[in-house]
Amino acid sequence: MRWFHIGIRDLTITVRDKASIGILIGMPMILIVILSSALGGMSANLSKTPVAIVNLDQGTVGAQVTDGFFTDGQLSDLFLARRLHSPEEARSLVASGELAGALVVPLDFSKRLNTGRPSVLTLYVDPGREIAGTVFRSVAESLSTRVSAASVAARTSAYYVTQLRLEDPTLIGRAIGQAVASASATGALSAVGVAETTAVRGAELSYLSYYSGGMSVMFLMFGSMFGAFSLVRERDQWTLPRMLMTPAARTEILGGKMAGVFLVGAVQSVVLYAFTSALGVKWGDPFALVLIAVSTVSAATGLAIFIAAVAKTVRAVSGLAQMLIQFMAAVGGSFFPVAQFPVWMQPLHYASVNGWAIDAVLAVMRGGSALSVMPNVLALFGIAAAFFAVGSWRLRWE
Amino acid sequence: MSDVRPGADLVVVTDLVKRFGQNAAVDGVSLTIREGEVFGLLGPNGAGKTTAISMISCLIAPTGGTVTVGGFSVANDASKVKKALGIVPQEIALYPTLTALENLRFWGRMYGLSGALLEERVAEALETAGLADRAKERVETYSGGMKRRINIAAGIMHHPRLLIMDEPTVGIDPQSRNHILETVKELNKRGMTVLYTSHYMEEVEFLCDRVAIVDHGRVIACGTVEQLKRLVGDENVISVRIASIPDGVMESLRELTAVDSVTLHVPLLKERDGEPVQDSDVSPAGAGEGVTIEVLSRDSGAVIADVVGVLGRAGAHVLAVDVREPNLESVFLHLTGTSLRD
Ligand SMILES: Nc1ncnc2c1ncn2[C@@H]1O[C@H](COP(=O)(O)OP(=O)(O)O)[C@@H](O)[C@H]1O
Ligand SMILES: [Mg+2]
Repeated sequence: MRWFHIGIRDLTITVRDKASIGILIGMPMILIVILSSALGGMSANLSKTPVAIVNLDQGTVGAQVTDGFFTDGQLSDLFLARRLHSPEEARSLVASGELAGALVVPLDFSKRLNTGRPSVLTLYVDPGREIAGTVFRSVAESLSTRVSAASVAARTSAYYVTQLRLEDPTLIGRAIGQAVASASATGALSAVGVAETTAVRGAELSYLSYYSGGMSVMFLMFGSMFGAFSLVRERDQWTLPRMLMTPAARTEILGGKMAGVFLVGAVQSVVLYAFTSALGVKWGDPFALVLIAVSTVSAATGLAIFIAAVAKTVRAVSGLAQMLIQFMAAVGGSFFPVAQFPVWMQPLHYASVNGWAIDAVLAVMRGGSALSVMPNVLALFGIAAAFFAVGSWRLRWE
Repeated sequence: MSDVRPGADLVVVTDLVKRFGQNAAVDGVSLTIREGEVFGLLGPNGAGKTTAISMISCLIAPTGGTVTVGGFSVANDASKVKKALGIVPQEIALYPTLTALENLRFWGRMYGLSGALLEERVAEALETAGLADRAKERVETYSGGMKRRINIAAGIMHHPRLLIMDEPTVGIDPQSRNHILETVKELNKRGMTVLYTSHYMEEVEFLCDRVAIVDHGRVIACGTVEQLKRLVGDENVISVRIASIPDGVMESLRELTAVDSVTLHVPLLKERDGEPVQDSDVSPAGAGEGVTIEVLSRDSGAVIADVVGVLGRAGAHVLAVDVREPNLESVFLHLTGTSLRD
């Protein structure tokens, strides 16, 4: 249990140090508020995802489905939609990364639905932009479910069909709404509910939410710098040699130092979660968040050992840590959403702890589950293990 | 400490060598520390004392030679050796923003203490340090002497068989130093064997049953204080305090017959803990004014007049003259031709 006492001792020392607490907890709080309010008010929405709408349908249902992207408040906050006329063009723009997705409404869409025949909406999604793609997909799915619900309802309820003039575009919305409501009421469309939730959550993602995720991750990484400081300082102030002269094994001492970094990260996570939640951020599934926090803090812990192994002095630690942390924060999307980066830069965000962590946090904010962020969590643990392996191999004890 | 056998060999160091690059910090040291004694390692800064005890306490691996503590080899049984040792490092190896109590609890736990025993030993160590009433204050608020006392307290809670103290009185006020010296005597009386390193010969003379004098990584003499003093033979020390030192007078003194060596002591004002303190050891004649010249001679009765004569002719103003028995300082001077102090 020596490692535990070493960890608790380090946590105590950090919590007592006003400068450390100021940087690890005060700074992210301030930056979250400043960045999100500077970028258009705290409730303003995140940069819009560029998508294309190709409506080949001559009838009214196709228009009804696609107009939402231009007229609906929530959807137009989320997406920067443009109309294209060729499915091939839309597809190639998605493939080149210029667009995050495209929705193609086929010819005769209205006619088929109105006559009770099935029809298919085509969706192109850029797999490189998982989150934007996921949101777009869920919106499109929810739209198509709504439309098919309408068609189901229309077909099953002769009353609506006879009462409505389907050519009137203002009435069809009401018709669809009523039809969906009646279809939902029968429980026949329970799957619709899930898709809708996802879409609505995505629409709520504001700059405040974005920077709550981005800054929290970035400052969790700063925990690694303080962890490395602490190791170097212990070397200089002779407490590390003194520990080595006690019966404590090196593994216990290293474990203890890591426990210290980890505990500091845990405290940071909890405090920042509470603070941002009080500001109104909806973080999503707590279990998924715990997984992300634990894996991110593990990566910071591994990085601490790595930095302490490579840098021998407090100055060197500070230089190396700041360089690494700021690079990872920049390419990983702590400052700007990755979707706004030039296309060639976007893959770089997988070269950072921040990229994996922020991706996962945003996905959970948009309603993602623990399972859906598992690849990110595993990637973070992998990064943690790699840093730790190199760090503990190169670490100088005396 | 049931297996204490006073007089038995507790630490056996054989041909110990530590090289840093080309430079041998410890260069073939052999010595034996017996159960129950206070053993002194006396030598100037850079002699290799800290390096030697770092190898005895398993912190660094020797380049050559062997060390056993209580029969266990440092190379093969480090964990058993470490349990038997209490360490007081030369540096104040404490956490400044933690209180004395928190520091002691932490170090006690590192030695495997917990629960009621830990609390008991922490209280005992605070008592020994004389700081029980200030235990809940942060170590950073302590004076240099108080820090040193807690530094010692952190090494004794597990009642080690061998307490290793590396220059535990560096840079502190005389009261704290006396407290520490008394503490070492007391701990030794309670049964702890002590390895005490210092470059202050008075401390070693006061505390130690046996002493090894080290210089440039080698033991140049080893024995009881009395045995070591006999190495100087029948020489005495003539100590002359003068207001200032005229040019060339040292050379003139060295040329006198029956003079073995001449050294000069200038009182230094040293910065410590931000305040200048007079280092009372710089001059054996006390922290008075002027400088002190020490002359080592076989025939002090005859030489004293010559010395005063040389100084007088050179125009030096003599403030005081004193003849005394040799001490470990004289032994070091006799053996190396240089002073113990920097
Ligand atoms: N880690 C090290 N690397 C290189 N040289 C060292 C190291 N530690 C000590 N030395 C050198 O070894 C010599 C003995 O040092 P040390 O054992 O600290 O002496 P002391 O404790 O007697 O003052 C000195 O010359 C010192 O510079
Ligand atoms: Mg030393």
